[in-house]
Amino acid sequence: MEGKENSRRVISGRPKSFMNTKSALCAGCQHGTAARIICEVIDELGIVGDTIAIGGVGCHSMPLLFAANFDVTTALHGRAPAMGTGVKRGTDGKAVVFTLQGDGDLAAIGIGDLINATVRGEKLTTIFLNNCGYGTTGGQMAPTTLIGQVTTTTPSGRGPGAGGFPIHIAELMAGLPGVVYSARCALNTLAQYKRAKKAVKAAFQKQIDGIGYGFVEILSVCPPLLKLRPTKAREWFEKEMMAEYPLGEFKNVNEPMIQHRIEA
Amino acid sequence: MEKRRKVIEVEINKEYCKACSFCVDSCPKECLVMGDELNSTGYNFPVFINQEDCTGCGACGFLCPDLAIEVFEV
Repeated sequence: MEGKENSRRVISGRPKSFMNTKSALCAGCQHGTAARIICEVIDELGIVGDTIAIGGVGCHSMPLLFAANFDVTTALHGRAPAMGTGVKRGTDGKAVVFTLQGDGDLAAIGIGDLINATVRGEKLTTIFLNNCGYGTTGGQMAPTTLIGQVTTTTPSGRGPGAGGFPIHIAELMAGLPGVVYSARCALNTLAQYKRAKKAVKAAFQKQIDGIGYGFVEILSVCPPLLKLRPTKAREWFEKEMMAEYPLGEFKNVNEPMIQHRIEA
Repeated sequence: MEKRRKVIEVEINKEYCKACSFCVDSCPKECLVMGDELNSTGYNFPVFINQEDCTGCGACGFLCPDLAIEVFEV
């Protein structure tokens, strides 16, 4: 049996740092794919022993909490960058710390913590999973909900009058001086999967090299929130969500941008 | 002499499958179809039917949200 294992080449196997357990997520939820990308990148960079993951509150941290082969902890709702700061400073910057947060966690309650972590000049990595709503608590409106999208708190669709506008976090992060990498990716095709993996790897590499804050927004789809079958939900994702949120790399620099410095 | 084709094995863990059919949609050669058989949680899982056309791109394995599919080249 061992000879057979050695003779065949793995094209897409389970990453070493992702334990063989059954996923607890809903059918068609792409958070499992996002967790797989993170585990593959950690395996390729060889940082399994040094990595500490900080999960937010929500479905997005479940695959890593249940199946990751490295240290994972959870923070209070939205406070993952603050906890990551403590972990990073407490280990003298030796640990590779990343936060995995959803859109209700990061874009609503935790946006102040995220922005202030970059303002403090922390060298962390944040992976942001955007699925246009609060999935865990039953499908309420989040700041990233699209205009006209029906949720349990916007039964006639989110309108600009009372509901406001969707927030584009990747572009917002690209404008902050402490952030050195910001990108938005999707997971609907194999090409997009490979781009997302490259982006996550770049965001980790910026932290390991000690340059600055790396940020990757991954668009994913939540079929129960949309009340659609997984296949229909993916069609909705390609038609509506990718029209609102353009994909791409918004910032990739090798040193933090300083506008003005007082010379001694 | 005919050039040796690479043989691809697709292993589907039927108990992990939740019938989202992302693997069937992502396959460029239509090598996977959703079967009629049910697993212990009541989902019908995909079946690998077309080994001749499979190119071994691994899209089904990479995009499976439940990591139920593994692709190997023998």
